[in-house]
Amino acid sequence: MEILEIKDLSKYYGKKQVLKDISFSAHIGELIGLYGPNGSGKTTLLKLIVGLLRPSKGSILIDEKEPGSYTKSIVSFLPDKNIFPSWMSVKDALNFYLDFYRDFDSDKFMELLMFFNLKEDYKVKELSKGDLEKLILSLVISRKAKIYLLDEPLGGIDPSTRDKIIYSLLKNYCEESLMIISTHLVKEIENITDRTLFISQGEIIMDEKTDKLREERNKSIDTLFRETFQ
Amino acid sequence: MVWVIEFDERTPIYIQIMDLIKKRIGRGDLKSGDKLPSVREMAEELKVNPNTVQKAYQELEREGIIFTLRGMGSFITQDSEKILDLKKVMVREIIAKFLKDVRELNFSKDEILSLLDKYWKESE
Repeated sequence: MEILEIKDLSKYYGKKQVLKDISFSAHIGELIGLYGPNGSGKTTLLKLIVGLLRPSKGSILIDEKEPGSYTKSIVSFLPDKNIFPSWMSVKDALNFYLDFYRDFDSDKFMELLMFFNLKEDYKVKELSKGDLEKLILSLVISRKAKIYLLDEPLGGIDPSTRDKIIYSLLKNYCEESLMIISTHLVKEIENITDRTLFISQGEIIMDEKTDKLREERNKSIDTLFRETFQ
Repeated sequence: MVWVIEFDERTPIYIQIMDLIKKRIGRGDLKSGDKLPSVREMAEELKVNPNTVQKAYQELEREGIIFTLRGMGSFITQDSEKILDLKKVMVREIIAKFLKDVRELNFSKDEILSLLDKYWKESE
């Protein structure tokens, strides 16, 4: 089922064009790696899908609807920056999500907390960067959403923790949803994706099945990425 | 059974998963009728997309090496001929590589056969 359809999408910040006529659609069950260097437009694209930004031109349809309150109820977004005030505890963050999202699954969240060795009474300000990332990721994937958009879920996280996060992503990845992971850490993510998108200066320059790409080019997506953006 | 692969970047991942399973069958770690992990379990173990594992299982099924029972899972074939064939293909690949390497060192067939015999006995 086509859950996301983007047509001729452009975005300007003032006079600067950050996305240029982007078109692609995505289906339930896909796990897409969205790769591009810093400033290529990854975050802007995700924010447009979430509805945090409005398109300058073109259209976005999520489950056949434009971004709005309905689409927010089925899209779970992991921003690349901390969204919680420092006075909050893990428990407060949990309650915050429970209040806002009907599809939030507390049992799943508790399981993830345990997996990541986080406790409910920890304060947000006391969490290390990695632990904070784990907390937010746990919240985001504990929603039973149709679309998960993860913006740099591995940014600033040490390799052993990355493995844990990737494992939890796979464990909780559901055939009934679409997941898009934006990152420049291609190597860590490529094996879990089934589709690869490269974005460069606001344009999608590659859109292919991950397996097919590796088979045709005879190299990893990571190598391909380095060659494309060197 | 622990499932790990150091993925080689030149080969498609589903083929590397197929090879790993074939190798385990060849070595006898997996026997006729043994159950494979579910697609999801295997994906989590190997940290790859479930669709990739699905593709590997489908191809193995097409080759007749595994079979799937609806709702029960995937199993290693009970056809012992098939497993023998699989081992023959594997040994052929190993020998082909071996031959290529020793030819590069300019040994004759007789020399190689007698060396092979000698080292075989030594390693027993």
